[in-house]
Amino acid sequence: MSVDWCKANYEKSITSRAWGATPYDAGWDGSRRHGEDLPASAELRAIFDEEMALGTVPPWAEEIIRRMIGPLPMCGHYAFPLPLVEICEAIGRGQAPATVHGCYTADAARKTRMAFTVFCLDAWLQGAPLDAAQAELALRDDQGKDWPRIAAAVYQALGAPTPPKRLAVRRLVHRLRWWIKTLVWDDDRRNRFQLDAYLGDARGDEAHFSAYGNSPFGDPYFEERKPPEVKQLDADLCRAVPHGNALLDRIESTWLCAPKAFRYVERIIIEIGALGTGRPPKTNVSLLDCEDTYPDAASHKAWYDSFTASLTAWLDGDGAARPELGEPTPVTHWLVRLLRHKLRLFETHDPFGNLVGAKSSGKRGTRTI
Amino acid sequence: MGDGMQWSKATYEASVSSRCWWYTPYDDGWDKCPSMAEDAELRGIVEMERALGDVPAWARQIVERSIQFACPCGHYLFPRPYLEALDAIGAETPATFVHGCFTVARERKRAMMDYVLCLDAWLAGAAAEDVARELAALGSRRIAWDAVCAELWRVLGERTELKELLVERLIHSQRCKIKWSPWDDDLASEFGRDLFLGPIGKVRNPAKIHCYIEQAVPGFDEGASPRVRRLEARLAELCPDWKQMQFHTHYGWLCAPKAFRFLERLVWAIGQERPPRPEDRVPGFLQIEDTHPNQDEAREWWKAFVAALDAWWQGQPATGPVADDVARRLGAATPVKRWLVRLFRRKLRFYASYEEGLDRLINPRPNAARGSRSIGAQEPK
Repeated sequence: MSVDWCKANYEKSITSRAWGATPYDAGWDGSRRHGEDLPASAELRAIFDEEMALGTVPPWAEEIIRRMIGPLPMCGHYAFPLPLVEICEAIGRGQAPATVHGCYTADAARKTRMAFTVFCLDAWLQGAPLDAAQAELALRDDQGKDWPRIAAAVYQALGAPTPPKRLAVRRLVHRLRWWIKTLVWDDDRRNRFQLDAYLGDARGDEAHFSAYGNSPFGDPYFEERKPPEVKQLDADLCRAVPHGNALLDRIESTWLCAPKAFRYVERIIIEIGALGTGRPPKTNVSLLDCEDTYPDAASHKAWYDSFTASLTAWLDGDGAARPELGEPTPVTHWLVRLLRHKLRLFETHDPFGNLVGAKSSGKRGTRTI
Repeated sequence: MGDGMQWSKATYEASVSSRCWWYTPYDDGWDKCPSMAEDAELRGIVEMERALGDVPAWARQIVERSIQFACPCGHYLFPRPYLEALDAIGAETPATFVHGCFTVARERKRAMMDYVLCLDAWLAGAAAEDVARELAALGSRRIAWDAVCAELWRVLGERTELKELLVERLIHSQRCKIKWSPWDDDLASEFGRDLFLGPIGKVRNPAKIHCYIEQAVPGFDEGASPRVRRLEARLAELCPDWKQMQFHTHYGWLCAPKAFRFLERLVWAIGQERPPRPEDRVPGFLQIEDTHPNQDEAREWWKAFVAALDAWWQGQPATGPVADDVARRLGAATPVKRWLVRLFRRKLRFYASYEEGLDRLINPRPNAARGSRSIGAQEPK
């Protein structure tokens, strides 16, 4: 049975729910403003037709769209390609996983690493002598890093404490602790880290935003801004620092789940250190010895090119191209085609394009796949 | 005297029995403690030791570790530390980690972190109901957090600079204890890894001083933290009777049976902007009863325990569940074990008489707030 390709039918479809963080998210009438023409997309129409041909969409397939493809991280996620592999496995298995490894998810090792960075900032903030901070860090053999050297680099970058720098570091520390507390993982339901620190409503806000596939763990972005202490801190920061709003925005954008989170924090530390000096920050240096946390562009591009080619081959009937998907069925074909189309939009319109090399920029990491 | 032993300072000091009197008057030594010369029980113990000939290394180490560092207040896991000493004797194997003073398992740390969260939320200006919701979902204990938080906010009352500084100082102090109190799986390395709470190396970890722990455990000098110095400098200006208040915020060991009650009294006093006083009648508002042993049960258990020890080393029969447990832990009697148990028993006699220590647990005052943790309650490994 053929279903008309029109706004009303599209909006009723499951297909329409898959386009978070793409121009299609603006809807039938709004996508043109963001560089895509949804109604004119032949590929989207073909995907819609595949869904309509199914008659009924099984609940597991709807769940994969709702929890995995719809909220797929537009940055690619630090654990890339885990979110993509996980979707393929879920499609092949006919079941979404208990924990979706996407937006606002990070494992304990990454959190611990960020906690050590916060320790360096906290020690500086308190006026602790560098050697005192280093003495404690020297006891930590976690993750094979020379933490005393990292602490020295952080202290040097921040320089002598001034009131504006202290405000900025306080705000940064609060935000980083918030990420450490609220990002979830299979073994971490916001119940492992920072349990003695009140940093905002740890439930996040699912009602107004999303849980990114991991209900009831709501979007934490805005809740951390709400405690009176933070509001005061934000106001003080914006008063004390030229263009404080922009710095605050960057501090709030330090998502620990993002591929270059540590590099981003590194740049902010350098920026804070330059406050009041009259000199532009020299951001092209390394403080945190974190190159291994962010992507080696060539490796990511190679993997991704191979991945998308294998999706296409699979869609064209080569069931062995991605064994985890199994042999194509109408439902799985529809889901995979939809995924491929979403990835193409991501490549063009989102930071995802940086990750997989289409428009790669900035400092290169050493993390390979 | 069986071997014609001369009961003298030299005899005593040459004995292994002389190496276990920490936290007793005998720790001052023979010359400063005239009653030692008159102590027939101690003399009998030393005679028993001499009759053994050479004391085996394992027995000497049990004296120097488990008996020397037996916990004088009973510990929050009472009676576990005492039973562990018997386990060591029974297995003829000295402990490598004595669970005693300043040692705290992660479950208790988690329980304290919930209250630190409350205080931190108050300090951040959050509403009581906000933090109550978080604790209802994530708190380590299932209690009525809405009531706890509402009461805590009420008790702290109107915000003042003094209260804010005192709460901040109290939070710091509790986070230190959470961070540096060791356990088998936590050598001051598992908590507070993002927090600078004072330099290490300038002081020894008190658990390394007052307990036997084979591994290295760093000490943290909280008082040398620049933040603490700034806080305390301001508090010294603002707080009436600051020295007394400083004492109370520094102390309140997490390993003590009534650590949470201590916190409750201190928070209540902060609400009054003055140090706690012995005569304060502080109503319970933190719902902490399950964090300390029930003193009435402790009293009954203790009677049975010391009677069982007395009977065991003398080879006399004893019955009842506590005596059975003691016998099971000690295993087959040997002369070395009998001597060790008699020595341990002598030391415990001192502890039981300490008004500020074990005596409070095993001889509770009629009006003392009672804990609800059963003596037989499950304990961490």
